[in-house]
Amino acid sequence: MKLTGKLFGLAFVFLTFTSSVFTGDDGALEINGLLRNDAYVIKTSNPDDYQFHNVLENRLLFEAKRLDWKYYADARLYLYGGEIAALYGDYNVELMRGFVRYYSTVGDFTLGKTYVNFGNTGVFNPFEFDKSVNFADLGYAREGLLALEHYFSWQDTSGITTYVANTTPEELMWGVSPTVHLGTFDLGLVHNHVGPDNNISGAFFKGDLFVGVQGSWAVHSDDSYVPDYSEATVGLDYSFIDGDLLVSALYYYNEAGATSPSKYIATTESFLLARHYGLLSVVGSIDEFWSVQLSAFVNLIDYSAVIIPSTVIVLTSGLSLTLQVSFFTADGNEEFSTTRAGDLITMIRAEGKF
Amino acid sequence: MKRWIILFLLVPAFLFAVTGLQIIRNLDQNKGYNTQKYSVKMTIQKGKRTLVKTFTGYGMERGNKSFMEFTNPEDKGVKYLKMDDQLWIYLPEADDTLKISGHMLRQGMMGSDLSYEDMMRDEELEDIYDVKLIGSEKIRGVDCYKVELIAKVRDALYAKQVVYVDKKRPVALKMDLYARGDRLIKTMEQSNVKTVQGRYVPMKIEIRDMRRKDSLTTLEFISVAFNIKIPSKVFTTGNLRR
Repeated sequence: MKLTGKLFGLAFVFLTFTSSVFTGDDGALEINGLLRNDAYVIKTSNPDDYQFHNVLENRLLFEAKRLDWKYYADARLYLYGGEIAALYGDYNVELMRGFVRYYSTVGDFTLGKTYVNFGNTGVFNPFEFDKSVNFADLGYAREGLLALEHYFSWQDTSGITTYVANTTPEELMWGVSPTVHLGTFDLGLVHNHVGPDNNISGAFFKGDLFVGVQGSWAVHSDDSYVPDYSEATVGLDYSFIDGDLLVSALYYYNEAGATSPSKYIATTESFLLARHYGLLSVVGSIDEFWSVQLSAFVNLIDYSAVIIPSTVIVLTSGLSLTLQVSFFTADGNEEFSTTRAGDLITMIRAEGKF
Repeated sequence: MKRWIILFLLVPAFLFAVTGLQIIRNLDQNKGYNTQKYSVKMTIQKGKRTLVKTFTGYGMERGNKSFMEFTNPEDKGVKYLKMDDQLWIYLPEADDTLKISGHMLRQGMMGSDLSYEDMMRDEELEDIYDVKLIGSEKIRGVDCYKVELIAKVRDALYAKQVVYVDKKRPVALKMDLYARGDRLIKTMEQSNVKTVQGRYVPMKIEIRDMRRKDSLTTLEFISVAFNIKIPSKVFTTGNLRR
């Protein structure tokens, strides 16, 4: 399946290129890129034991636009160094996205490898398909779905999105999400058929009540729509000093999560195993070129936490440096414990966009 | 007789004296448009460091509807849609549209000294401020009226503005922008005034945020056009993904 996706991707990029060449200036191909180096140093719970990983990412973005369509492709080459190379090999090529979007009087059609985004973006979004969390890089990119998506707008700020995708040859994945804007609120309903006996249905909102508010609620059910468990979020945000200091708090409820540490089925790859979580985030802009952030994920069952201070320095147009450290506070059987994830993870990112 | 001569000399002065309100009305009239399309180069400076960004934008209903798209390589495809006081941002990396909380509208746009509200709001000053002509002053050698604007509505962008308007053309060459407590927070200087479709347009705007040391944001209009036909679908959240 993965190979098919890559072949599709390469064919798509080729098609994009050749089509654009023949269409001339209107619809001409534009290529932008990103070069990013992430160096990770992990201090494990063993004394004097350090691990080093290095990921060099070369990203190429292909885009061609005309009045009635656009091509878009996001192709990446990863070069691995340090201990991560033992896991993933020396390199990897990925087509994260590659699609054609056609605009018609009956809506916009997207065909190809694309993101299907429902709900409020973020780590705890109940409607996110990929539930994995990387505390060393919270914003890590996900692969798109091979899908046909349709968006129809019935008002300036309201519309309905539907999609079908084939995750396995036997099963079609599909979903629908109407969204409306009322007053100061964006409101949405979602129904996703993710796989056999795996449906996610619910609602979400984001708006203003003096402070910014957001929330979501989703029920997981089988194909007879018998509820299995539910997830929910509620969050607040507010800014001070004319937006230079942003404070946000988010609570996450997962009915399927464990209610005591003894019930965790923990691995180093999976997180968010408990029923209740909190996320506190403070973002400060020191000036136009320097920002700092502090995020704290707290497991509200065992009160362990991962605390992530970070800073971004913009050196010049398109060139930036990021330093991020992830501290795990507990040292026993708690979820965010040093025995599971190490004492701390330091990431130094150098990034250039062109 | 002497009294009559003085009176005679004063009459024309009364007949032709301008008021602050007239100056601001002329300013509003000159800025008024049904639709607007522009292309801008934005330079953000902090000491010796510089960032350059470019964007194109459309406006309708004096900024009540506004659409902007960044075109420089680092931010290419980032788009904003403003409808009344609601703002959405489209991030091409996530192919996703996010609603920005209302309290964030005063944040500097893309790290600049220009807030989202500064860029996108363009109401008639007369509707928002009480106006008083407080004198004359030369700005870069040009004789200007000095007009004080005091906010009369709660959601005014600034509690007070002091605007220096060219005496020969209805263009503000400088604006001092104050928060509550008479605290000067920003200055805007407008220059390179050109005539575009019969109205005076400052093609260069320099903004200094007084709370940030050595900070300067410069907007240079590469092109600007007024009252052109803009399809209504431009101002839709669906258009952000296109």
